[in-house]
Amino acid sequence: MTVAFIAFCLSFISLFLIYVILVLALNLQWGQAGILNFGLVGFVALGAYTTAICMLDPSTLAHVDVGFGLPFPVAFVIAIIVTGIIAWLVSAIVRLGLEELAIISLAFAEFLHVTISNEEWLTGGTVGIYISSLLDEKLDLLGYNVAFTVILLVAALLVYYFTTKLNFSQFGRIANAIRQDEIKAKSLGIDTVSHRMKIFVIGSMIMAAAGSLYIYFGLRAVPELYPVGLTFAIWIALILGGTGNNLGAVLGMGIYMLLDMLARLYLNIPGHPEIAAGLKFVIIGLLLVILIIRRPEGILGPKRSRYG
Amino acid sequence: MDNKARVILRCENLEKSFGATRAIDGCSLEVQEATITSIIGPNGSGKTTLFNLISGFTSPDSGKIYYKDRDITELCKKSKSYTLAELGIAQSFQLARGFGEMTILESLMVAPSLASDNSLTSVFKLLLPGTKEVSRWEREKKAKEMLQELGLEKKSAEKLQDQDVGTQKLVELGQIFLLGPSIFLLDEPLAGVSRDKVPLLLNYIKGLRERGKTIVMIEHKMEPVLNISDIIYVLVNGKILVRGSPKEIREDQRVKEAYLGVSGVRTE
Repeated sequence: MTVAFIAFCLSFISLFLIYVILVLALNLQWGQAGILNFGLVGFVALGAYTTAICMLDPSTLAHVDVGFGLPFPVAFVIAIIVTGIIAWLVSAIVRLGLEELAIISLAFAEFLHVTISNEEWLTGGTVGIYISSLLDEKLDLLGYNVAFTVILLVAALLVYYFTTKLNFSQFGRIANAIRQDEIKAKSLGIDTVSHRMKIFVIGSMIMAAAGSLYIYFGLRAVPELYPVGLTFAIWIALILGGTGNNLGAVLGMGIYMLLDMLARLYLNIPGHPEIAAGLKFVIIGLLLVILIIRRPEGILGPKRSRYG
Repeated sequence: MDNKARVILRCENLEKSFGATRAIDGCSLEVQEATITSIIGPNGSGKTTLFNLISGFTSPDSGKIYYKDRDITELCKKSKSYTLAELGIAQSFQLARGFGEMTILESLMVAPSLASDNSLTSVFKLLLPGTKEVSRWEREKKAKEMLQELGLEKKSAEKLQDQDVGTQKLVELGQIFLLGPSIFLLDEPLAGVSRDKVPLLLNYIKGLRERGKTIVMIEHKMEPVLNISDIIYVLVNGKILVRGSPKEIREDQRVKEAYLGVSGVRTE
């Protein structure tokens, strides 16, 4: 096996771990609390771009006018906090309804995509922002990939631990209660709107953390890394694996990524490469339809609480 | 009963219309602390609407609601029912509502009667390894005690949605008992509950009164209502027809005509 092949495998695993963090955050929002977040990719991009702008060295500015030259850990924390505040604002606009939040979050992601594609002074437009990392300078290709896989593995395990603990706590129990019957939850003295907002903010902060780690791993922020399709890929993985079950979410993400890679490698129609790309979605869509009919709760059933 | 008992809940000239229907047409009532007040009346007379006005699920068109001499009408208008529950007014529903996917034990643990820390900082504290939820054991203990009182301990691990209506009703009452408000608004607490559990529930409700809690209930089963109530209001077509003690109600000719049927008291 060549070094390049091992590096490829490791970068595939790294991407998988990033997506695992995202699917766990979505499972907290949708699986536990019933919040429809169709703007997932927007919060990932927000975390990524905030990190990139914070890290960009002001002495080497070329096509971008803003940069702060902060070290990654500081940029990471700032990205999470900034995203938390913006997620709070987004959800505060629609204090009342779930459906409104679904639309607003989708609109927010689109708004952000247009902004990062056009505001060249801040985001570099379609060229994007390139940053450098200490790890990149000190390690060779293989060492770099190994280091990142380990960092992301630790991060993914932490998020898994945290979201599971949160879901099983009284905080998660109340979220689960609100998802099932909001009026009943209100009658028990629960401020359902504010509780839901808290979960929306926490989930979005986790998404920003994933975006921030991803940018430090890939070292570039460009708009095409954050297509709307990413949001729905994570949604599909969650529904596939089992809504309301962290283990199912991870499993679904793994299956989705394997299918995706196999399709890329082997799905080939000689002479018509453009059909193969579309065929992938047809196959995944078909699988999803069969699954929804045969097993609507996903591969693993829900596990929202320690009480079964 | 002490005549000087404090009035804990007072409604003045409440009105509520749904389209052309006047569901509540100038209702005034007073509820004294640590009493059982029952509201009876034919179907469609506006009893549940009256409850929803008091608990904040529906807002009145006009009129005032006072809780411990504090005007809470505005709170009710904003439909901030969780605030009212925090203040100490809580409602159980005519058709039991609940968290069906939870086990019976867990659905009793939802009631946030114990100080539950839901602030964002406490949530992030969960991130620290080894942090245990201190109140979970206490919560579970209280829920188990309640299940024992309701005679449901054998079903504690079963899902709420798999239960019959009576059991769901008991669980709902258990939730509201655990919440422990000052005023319990019970909408037909006995409907659907199996016959052998009725005395148990009535005893529990009487026990609440002894502990200084106030109970307002809507109920169709006449015998229990006449037995345990201190004051009964008869609601007909959105208006209070009569207010009186069970004895007075039993003998009132208008009540017999409007509700009980001219032939006499219906027993169930």
